[in-house]
Amino acid sequence: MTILARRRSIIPGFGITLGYTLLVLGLVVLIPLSAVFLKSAGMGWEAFADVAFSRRAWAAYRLSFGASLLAASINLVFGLTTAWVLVRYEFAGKRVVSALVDLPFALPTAVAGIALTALYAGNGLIGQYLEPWGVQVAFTPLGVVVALVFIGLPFVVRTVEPVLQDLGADVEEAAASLGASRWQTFGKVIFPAILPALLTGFALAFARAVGEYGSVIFIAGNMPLESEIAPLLIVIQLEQYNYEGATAIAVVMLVASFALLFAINLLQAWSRRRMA
Amino acid sequence: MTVSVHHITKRFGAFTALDDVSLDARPGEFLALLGPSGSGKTTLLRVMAGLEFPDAGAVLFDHVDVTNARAAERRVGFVFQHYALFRHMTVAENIAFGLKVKKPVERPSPEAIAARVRDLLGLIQLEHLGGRYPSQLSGGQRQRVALARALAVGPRVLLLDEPFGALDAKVRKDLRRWLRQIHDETGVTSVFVTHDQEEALELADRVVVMNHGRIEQVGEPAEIYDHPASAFVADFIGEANRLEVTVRHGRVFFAGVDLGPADGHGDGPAILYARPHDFVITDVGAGAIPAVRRSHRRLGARHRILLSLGDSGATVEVETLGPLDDGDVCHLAIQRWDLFPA
Repeated sequence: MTILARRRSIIPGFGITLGYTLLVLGLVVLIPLSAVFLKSAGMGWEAFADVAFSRRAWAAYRLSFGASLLAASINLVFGLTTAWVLVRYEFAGKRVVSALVDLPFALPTAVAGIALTALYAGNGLIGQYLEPWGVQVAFTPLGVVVALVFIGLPFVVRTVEPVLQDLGADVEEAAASLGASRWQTFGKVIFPAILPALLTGFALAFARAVGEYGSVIFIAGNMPLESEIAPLLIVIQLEQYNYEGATAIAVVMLVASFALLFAINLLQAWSRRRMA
Repeated sequence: MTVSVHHITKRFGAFTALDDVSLDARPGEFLALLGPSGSGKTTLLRVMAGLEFPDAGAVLFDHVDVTNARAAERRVGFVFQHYALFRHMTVAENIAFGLKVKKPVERPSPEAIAARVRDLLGLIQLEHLGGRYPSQLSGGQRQRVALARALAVGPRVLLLDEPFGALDAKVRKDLRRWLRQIHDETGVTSVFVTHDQEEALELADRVVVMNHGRIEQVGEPAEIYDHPASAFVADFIGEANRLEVTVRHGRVFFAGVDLGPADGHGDGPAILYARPHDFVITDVGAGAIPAVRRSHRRLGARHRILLSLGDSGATVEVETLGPLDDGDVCHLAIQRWDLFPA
């Protein structure tokens, strides 16, 4: 009788799917993450602060989070433009461009890092033209940003693209027929409609950039206090068999990342609510 | 305001959407563009609005050439089939949009905008829903909001692209009466696109029948229905039976039966169109076609009877014709018809 009385749904297995989700989430995400906290908790506050809040660590956090935010912001503009072009215009080779956008997803990040380094080094294909202007990309924090832009681009493009597609040209035409200029149409009609998707893309690109290791270590030069990212610092600790030290830095990154992503999520919820 | 298009041609790649189309919408008129899909009616409307630009020809508003003016400069109200409301704005904000984007010198004060929005909400009978978002409204309500938004800027002409196309039958009937009423109150020249002839014939002052990018006929609804100018119009408007006939010595013959004078039609094969209500049962005699009743169907209050004519293989659908059963034999006469070259 109780089985019959249950709410019926055409989608079966609420119990089993939720159980499976929690199991996998626990095994793959929660247990490893709590292990990081437990391990670092065993080292005592002073030892923790020594590693996690050293001058070198602070510089690394600043670079990691600063470069990630900057790269995600660049991708916001660049990714929106790319998505716009892909959705709104028909041109020869559109499919090729679309496939190119996904390439950073698939390419081993070390390959990307080496390629970018070769291009932007002082004697590289692009670097040789920047050098006379006093612009050094490879082996500087600027190089870190370039690498993070590369790996973050598809996140913004692929989250904004379906929303732009869904927005339809008729909304823009309606704005135009009501007398709105192109800028008014973009600012008052298109931008508010795609803002939640833009924020999602930004959060994804940012999260990916904070965790990025492979491509950055090749182009960054890894100078302590200058162009050394936090994930590299963790690896350095590991290489010295200082596992607690590695987890201490990881804990700081985890907390900071979580706080930032949570803030972006709140912003998103707010902008989505305005869409009703 | 008079909206004129002169010799408009518009191509999309190899497809010719409009082929040398000329048309005038008279001041205060309610004009319907009617045709099957792909006939160019929506393209013509969009050319009038400045959402599409013609390859050749001119668009004139009150004799002023606006062919190259952008939509934003033309002061037209455009209503889209799928409403095209701004989802992130409330109903009131949607309606106020056209006023708020005006240049500061032309923009009414916030109080004046609020008053105008209130008036329009009253006009569309949604006074209490100004704070809702479009997603919280029904289709019919959304289209009314879209209309209010278009009217807010005081358009010189109102252009509606299949305004009831996405609504169900009951709602569209209510809404089109209401739209006609709004038109009569505001008196703004209106052009609307539809593929629903009933809608066009009921609503419009004049109907423009289009096919393959050309205008087949322009006229008042009754004129279009009673005197179709081409075989296409006869076939497309209302229900019509199509019979292949022959004209000999100035008279129309079907399966050997002399139906009557051909009214100046030249000798040779021709196509005859007759409405279901143009057929009557008659005695054997002049102009009587032997027929057999095949089947019967009901359309609400109306009846349709399918008959086969003699041994010609042709069938016709006629209005109910008295006490007949399937298989009964009778004779039919055609009281009124239109004749076109084959």
